[in-house]
Amino acid sequence: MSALFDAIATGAHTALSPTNLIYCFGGVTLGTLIGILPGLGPIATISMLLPVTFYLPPETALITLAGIYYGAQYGGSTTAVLVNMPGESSSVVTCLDGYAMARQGKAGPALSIAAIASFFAGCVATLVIASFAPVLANFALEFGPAEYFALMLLGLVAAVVLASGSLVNAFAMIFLGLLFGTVGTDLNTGVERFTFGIPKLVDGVDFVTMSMGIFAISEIVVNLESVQERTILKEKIGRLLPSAEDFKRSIWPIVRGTGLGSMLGILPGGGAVLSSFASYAVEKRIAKEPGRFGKGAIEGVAGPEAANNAGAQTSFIPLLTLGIPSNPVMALMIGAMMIQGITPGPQIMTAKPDLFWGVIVSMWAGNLMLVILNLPMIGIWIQLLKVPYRLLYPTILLLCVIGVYSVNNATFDLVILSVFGVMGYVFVKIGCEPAPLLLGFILGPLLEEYFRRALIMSHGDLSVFVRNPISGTIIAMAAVLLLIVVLPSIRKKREEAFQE
Amino acid sequence: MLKRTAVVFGALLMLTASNAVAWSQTKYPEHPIKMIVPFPPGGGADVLARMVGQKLNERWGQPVVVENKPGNAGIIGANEVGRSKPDGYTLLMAASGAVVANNIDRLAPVALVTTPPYMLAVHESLPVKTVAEFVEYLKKNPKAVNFASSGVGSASHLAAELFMGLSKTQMTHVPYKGIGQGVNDLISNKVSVMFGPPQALLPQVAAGRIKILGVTSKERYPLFAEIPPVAESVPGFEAVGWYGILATAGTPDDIVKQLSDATNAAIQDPTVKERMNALGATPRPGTPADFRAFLKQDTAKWAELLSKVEATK
Amino acid sequence: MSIARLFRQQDFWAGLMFMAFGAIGIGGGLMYRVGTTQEMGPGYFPRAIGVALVLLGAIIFMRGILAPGKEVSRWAIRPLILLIVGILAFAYTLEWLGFVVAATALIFLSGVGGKEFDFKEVVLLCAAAVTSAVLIFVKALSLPIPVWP
Repeated sequence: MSALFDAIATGAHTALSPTNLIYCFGGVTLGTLIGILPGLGPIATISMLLPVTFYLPPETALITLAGIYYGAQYGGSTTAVLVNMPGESSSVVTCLDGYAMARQGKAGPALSIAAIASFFAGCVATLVIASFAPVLANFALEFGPAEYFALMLLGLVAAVVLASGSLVNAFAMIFLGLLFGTVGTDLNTGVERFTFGIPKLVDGVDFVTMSMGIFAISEIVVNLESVQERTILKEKIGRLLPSAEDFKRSIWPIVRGTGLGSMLGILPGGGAVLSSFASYAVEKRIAKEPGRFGKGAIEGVAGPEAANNAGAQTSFIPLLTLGIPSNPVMALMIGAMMIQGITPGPQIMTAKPDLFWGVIVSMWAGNLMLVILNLPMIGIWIQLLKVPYRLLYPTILLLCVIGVYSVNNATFDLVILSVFGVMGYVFVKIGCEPAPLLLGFILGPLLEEYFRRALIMSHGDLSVFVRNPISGTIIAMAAVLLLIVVLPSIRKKREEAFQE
Repeated sequence: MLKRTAVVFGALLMLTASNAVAWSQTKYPEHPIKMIVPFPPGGGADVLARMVGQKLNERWGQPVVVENKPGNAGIIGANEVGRSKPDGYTLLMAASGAVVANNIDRLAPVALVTTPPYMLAVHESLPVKTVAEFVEYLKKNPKAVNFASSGVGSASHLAAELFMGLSKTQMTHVPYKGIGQGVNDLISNKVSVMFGPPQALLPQVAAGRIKILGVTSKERYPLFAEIPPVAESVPGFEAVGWYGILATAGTPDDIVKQLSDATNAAIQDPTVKERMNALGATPRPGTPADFRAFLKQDTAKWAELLSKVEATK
Repeated sequence: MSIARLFRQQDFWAGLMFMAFGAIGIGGGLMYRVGTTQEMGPGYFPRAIGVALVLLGAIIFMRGILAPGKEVSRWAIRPLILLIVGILAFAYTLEWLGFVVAATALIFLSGVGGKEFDFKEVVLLCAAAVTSAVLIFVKALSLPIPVWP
């Protein structure tokens, strides 16, 4: 234990130096800004800043870049809540209840609880990294393709819970998402699937493009349907801060979300993408009135935001302890370290303790800065909702196209954006909720990849999935969850049939 | 309102006019240069482009704007440069994979930057110490050993295919999305073999999880002089990656020469050299003609290998 | 149920849509090698998804016919078309005429799509939005976006 305190003291010495504090602040501020600007993610920003980090000491460079990353996770929820625009996979879930809350004049509590949940999660996850990083990294190594496949399967079953309407429609939307996920080059054979000879489709459809089209564009069209809609608001703007009741509802979702996110974030093979979805599914499942979800339940914002931030934080574990990047942002961090002449790997912790612990302590400082920075801003953001809609939507549209263009600097992505915009509107018209589709789209390629890899490694033996204790357990959980979800609705159907 | 429009319009015209004047002059470079990196940011090509771009900027006082146009293993970005105006203001920082038979004619080689080797790594538990023992082991256990690659047709895949072809051995291919995921499964012994870049593998050696059997360059590589080349045991084996700058075909020779000289100077600058070493590479200066010859040989070699691999499927 | 009423059923159209996408998936499965479960080819996964989509689509379709439910509300064709045309115009002009022209086209076209189009107001909005976008994205964040032709 005292070793931990020594280490944290080393880290504090580095992280709390005036220069590093200033850069950390700069990082989280920039991160928040790009998080708010849709489409413009941490990847684009960090890559633009890479050359600048040439001139900084390695600790300062990493502290700044890390700040951009988790700052963007904070900022991402703002546009999701205010205008239903998810810039990253983690904010899709925030859109569901956050935007519903905003329309009811409760954007203030939604944004505040998001900030508070993120802060709590960030602090806990930082502590988790500091105390258990090496142990957890070794645990993550136990996860092979069979385990990841099982995890993705569980995620897909949980995706059904995201929808509040028809169960069959939700399943169909998941499969449609899986189908969209197959567009592009097949990893195992190099065959191009559903690319129709278009070179830009060879790498598949970009998530940002798809979610912007399906959520943001179609939402604008829906809003333009009605004549009298002058602002996004349906009711008057209420209080800014959450009420005691809101807090009471949110506390356990935040704690559970933090736990889930911290666990999933450790897995370098794509666990972090699941964290916010998993938290939402859990909260809706155990809620006393699941019917409130999707219509402005504060638990549906608090839990996923905590999970997403905790996951973002703990996804540094594989990077810092093994030198393995768990997502594209972490791959960039490796690039940044190499520019500095540091080779990331298992030795970092012992060879460069001030760097390792400095980055960790800076995360805590950065989270504190974020909450101080973001809470007062909420009052300003809310004013945006009062802007007449006829002025707001062209601006949203402009932000959308800039964001989508900046992902690959390709105008063709805007064509895809239009296609998904139309599709998203059709979905609304025919009563199909889009959230399960997006989760299917994210998980589908991973599901296929891990399934096929597990079979290559086992030389075609299908029993690997159940023989292996971890994957066997997760698959059993998925099966049970499926039964829990499906049975009540079948029973209801039968009752209805009997009544007739 | 009308007045304001007129002012804006006037300003527009003036801007266009000043651009046109800049055009008519011949001194190079007169305005910022765009360097397209056909890969996502943060990778080797991206880091090199930013380092070289900065040096070119210091030399000429014109900014070099690095733009990432990833997609289709680099071919999308390379094709874009192929379609650009041949004026030396749109450059490509290419790497193995981006330049292929059907776009090579639309590009003008400027300068090779570096040809870093890969390394043959195996999990620490595999009972072999040298490449020769490894070949023996594979012959005893055909198809039983799995190797990781960063995707079908990637350098790490092709290196392994070449190795199997020349050593007459068989392993099972496990493709990954990128090097990192492959290394992850290599250190946890879910796959046992990987041909990968040194900077991804060497840290894991120090941690005792894997061992390096050889480098893929034809001879010992100066940075890693203690590691023998795979070719010592498998004659004829050579599989190096490459990074180099290309312009659009038809770019005037004097501009290509200026660019080539500037690039050669940039990559031999001590600070750039040092950072390249951290990436596991040493500069490889040369003329545009050298680069052209290298490219021709390299693309032909891999195209032949790839068609052989596909024929066996 | 009358045909007209059937054609207003959400489930009717949703079922058709899922079945159509399912058919594409199955078609892809035929185009690419399918393989076996043990050794999947590139067509295996799309085909499996396609089959599931057709089945689920059929259930939804039948539900639309047998148990009439929610009906499709009126389509907002005009805003949809103008918004999409605006995005495409932006895409078409951006790398050719620059951001200022492209963004102006986008804002005007989408503005016309709304209910209350006030020319003066849209001009002002356009000036403000384009200026701040250039300042934030091109100047401050230095995104590689061409501002002028």
